[in-house]
Amino acid sequence: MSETQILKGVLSMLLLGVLTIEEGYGYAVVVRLRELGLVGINEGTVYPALTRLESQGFLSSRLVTSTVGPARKYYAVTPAGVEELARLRSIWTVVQSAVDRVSSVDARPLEGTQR
Amino acid sequence: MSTDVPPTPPKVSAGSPPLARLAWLSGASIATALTSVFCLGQGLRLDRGDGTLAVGFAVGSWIQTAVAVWIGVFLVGIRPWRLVRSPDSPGPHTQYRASLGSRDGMRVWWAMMRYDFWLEWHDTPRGTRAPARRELLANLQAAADQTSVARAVADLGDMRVLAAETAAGLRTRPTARLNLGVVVALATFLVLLFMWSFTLLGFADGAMATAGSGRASAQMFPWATTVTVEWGDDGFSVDSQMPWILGVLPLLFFVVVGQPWRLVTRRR
Repeated sequence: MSETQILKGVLSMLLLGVLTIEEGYGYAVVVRLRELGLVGINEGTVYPALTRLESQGFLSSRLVTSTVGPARKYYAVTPAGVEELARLRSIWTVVQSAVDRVSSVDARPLEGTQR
Repeated sequence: MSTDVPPTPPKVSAGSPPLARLAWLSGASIATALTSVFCLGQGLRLDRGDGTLAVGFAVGSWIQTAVAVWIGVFLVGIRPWRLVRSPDSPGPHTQYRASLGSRDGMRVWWAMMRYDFWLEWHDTPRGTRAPARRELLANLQAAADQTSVARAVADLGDMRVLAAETAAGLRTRPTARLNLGVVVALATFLVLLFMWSFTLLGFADGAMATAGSGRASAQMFPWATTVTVEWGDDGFSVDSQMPWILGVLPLLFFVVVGQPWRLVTRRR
């Protein structure tokens, strides 16, 4: 499984998390995620996810006109989005701790084999 | 965090109705082709009174010229790529494309056209595709400012996948894809027309190579029509009924691709 596939599973949580801090348009969100260390994230994954979250009511949007190019669509998290983020984070916490436990169990036999 | 209500997106101009434009340009292109043939001193006779089409030329190659002129004028006039791409009202988004160099402008235009094509393929209505395309263009511009147009377009990945995922996110109801239907039907018709004209000319060339003058008749596959060639010292003539496949196949493609019945089922 590639990094991109793993990221797709938690993309909604990441996008809602980033946009809770500050509203932003598609490419700005991509750049922000990359700056936070998610270098494997790409535009083709993020843009449709923003559209989906908006149609689900978790994001609102507004157009900011520009004199040098097309109007940019800025997304912000709605109250429903804040609730969804909390739900996704609780799921993530459970999954993360389970994965940590499995990883620590998995590491012990390896140590034994090396001896 | 801003929760402003998004302003209404700018209205998209509908442009000329495709069918009216098609009819007007068909007439104009046929007139141009006929004029060009007559100006060159060639003879052309169209007889459709009994459903047959008879074409007579002193020099065989002029039929190719006429067909080429007809198709050229038709394509330049109808601009099929505009049928695929929804017409954007003039604004900063169109100015941006215009401000790019020809190579980068072509890259952006081609990316947008593919995106729009696949959005329509995935049942996204015209009114939803235009803002989606403008949003992608704005993001593309921002990315291109940081890197380059070529890199920004490449980073979008496969436009078919991008459009499919965007369309899934938009959750729109299935709609008729009339634009795609018209383009596919037109392309099919033009290809068939070319094939038919070259079949006729090939048969005529072959028949004329056998003797100095005469008459030959044959059923041409797959056109299901009889072609008769008469030739002599003063030229040749080709008589044939218009193959039904020229009308039926484009119509079939239009129905299959355009799915016009959705106009009715959507209203219900």
